[in-house]
Amino acid sequence: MTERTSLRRLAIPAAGVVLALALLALRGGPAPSGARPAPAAEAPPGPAPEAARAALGPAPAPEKALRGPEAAEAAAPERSMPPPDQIDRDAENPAIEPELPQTPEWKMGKTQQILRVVEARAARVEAEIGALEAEGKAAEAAERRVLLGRLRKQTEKMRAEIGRYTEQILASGGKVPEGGFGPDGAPR
Amino acid sequence: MSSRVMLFAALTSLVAAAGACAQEGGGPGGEEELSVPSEDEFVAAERAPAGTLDLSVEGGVRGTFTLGGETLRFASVAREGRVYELTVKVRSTTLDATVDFENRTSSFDGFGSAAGEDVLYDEADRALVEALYRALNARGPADAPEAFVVLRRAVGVWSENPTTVPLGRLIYGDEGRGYTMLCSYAKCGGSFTGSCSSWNWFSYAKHDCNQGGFDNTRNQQIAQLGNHFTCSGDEFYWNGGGWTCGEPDHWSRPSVVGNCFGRCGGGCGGDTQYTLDATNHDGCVRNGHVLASGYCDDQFVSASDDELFAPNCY
Repeated sequence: MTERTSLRRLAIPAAGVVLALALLALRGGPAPSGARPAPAAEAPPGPAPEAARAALGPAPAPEKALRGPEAAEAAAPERSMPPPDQIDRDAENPAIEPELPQTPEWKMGKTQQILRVVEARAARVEAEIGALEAEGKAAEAAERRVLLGRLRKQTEKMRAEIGRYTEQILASGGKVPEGGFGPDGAPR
Repeated sequence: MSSRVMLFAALTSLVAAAGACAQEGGGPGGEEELSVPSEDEFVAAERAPAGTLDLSVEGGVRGTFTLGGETLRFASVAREGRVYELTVKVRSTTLDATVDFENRTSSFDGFGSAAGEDVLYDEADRALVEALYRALNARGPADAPEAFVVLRRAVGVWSENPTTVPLGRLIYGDEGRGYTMLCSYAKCGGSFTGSCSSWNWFSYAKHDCNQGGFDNTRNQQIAQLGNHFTCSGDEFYWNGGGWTCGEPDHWSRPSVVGNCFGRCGGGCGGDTQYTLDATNHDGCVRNGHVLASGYCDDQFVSASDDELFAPNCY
C-alpha cells in the first residue's frame, strides 16, 4: 500500500468519526441507562445573543454528545457509595462569607501593578532585540519584536483601563492618590 | 472537570486534518501510519497522558511537548519578585502571560506567532494545550519549583479557555475578593481523598445558563467536592435508585460527586485548589454543557483567578 493510499484509508474513517460525533451532539446523545427521566421539560439552552456571538466568533462546540462508556459504567456503579441521605455529621464547614466588592480602587491597583511588571518586561525584550540583531540572529530578533509589539499593546490597554477607573473613582467623589493604589487596593 | 468527549473529538479532527495535509503534500517518505484513537484508547490516554514531554527545569522551566505530529514549545522564566514570563507556542499561535504571583495579578495574551495579529483560539489548539496540561500534571512533582507550578496553572487556564472568551485579558484576584476557598467541603469523613461512607454536601454548585438564572433549581447541583470517586464520565449522579456515571442535564438539584468536583483545572488537575468559582464552573460544564461551552463563559472567567492564584488545600 502506498503512503497516499494508507493516509486516505485512515482519513475517511476519521471523517466518519467526526460526523458521527456531530450527529450524536445534535441528538443530545442517548440517555444513561437506568437514569430517572429529567424533570419537566425545559427548553434546551438557546444561542447566546446574536450580536455578541458575531463579535466573538464561531459558536461554541456542540453540547455533550457521547455517553457510551458512561452508560456501561452505570450498570456497575461503585458499591461503596452510600445514598445521598448518609450525611457526614462530623463535618466542620466554616461559614462562607460574601466576597468583598471589586472596587475601582482595587482593580486600578491590580492593573497598575501588572502594568509596571509588563513595562519592565518590554524593556528587557527591547534590549534583547538589540543584542540579537548585533549577533546577526535576525529570525530570533524578529520573533522577539512580535512579542514586544504585543506587550506594548497590552500596556496601552492597561493605561486606558486605569483612565476609566480614575474617572469612576472621581465620579463617585473619591480621590486618586498621586502614587496610585497598591495591589491590595490601598493608597500607595 | 471532564472534557474527554470534546478533547477526543478535537484530537480526532486534528489527526484527520494531519492526514489531509499529508495527502495534499504528497511528498516522498516512508509509509507513515496515522491512527485515529478509539474512545477506549482516548480514555486510557487520559489516565496515562499521551504525547512526549521534554522538560528542563534549569533557570526556570522550558521544554517541548509532541503529540500527533505537532510540537508545542513552552517556557516559564522567573524574574525578581516572583514574576513569571510564560510562553506556549502551539501551531501558529503564541500564548503568552506575565504573572506577578506575589501580588496576584497577571496579563494574558494570545496572538499569531509570525505577525502578532489577534487570533481565534480554535478547538485543535485547545486540544493540544489540554494534552500538554495533562502531561504537566503527570510530571509535576510535589515539590515542583514555582516556575513550573505557575506554568501548569496558566496552561490549565488556556486548556479550558472557550473560543468565546478573548485570550487577551487581565486576570487578578485575592482571597475573599476574587476567590473563596471551599477546602472543608472537599472532605468526607475528614479526608480529602478516598471513598466516602457519608457525605459532606455543598449546596449549591450553580450557573446562570441562558435562562432561569442562578436561582433556577435546574441550574443547581448538590455536590460532594473532593477527590473521592472516579469514573469515565463527568461525575456520578444520584438517579433516585443508585449512582450513575455520566452527567445529569439540568435536573433539579441532583446530588453529584466524583472526578475531583470543585477543583481548579481540567480533570483532577495538578493542584488541589477547591474554590467556589471552580465549583460553579464544574456545576456548569458538568450539567449539560461541554468544558468550553459559551454558556459557561462567565463561570470560566470567574474561576480563572482561582486557578492561577488560590492556594492548594492540601
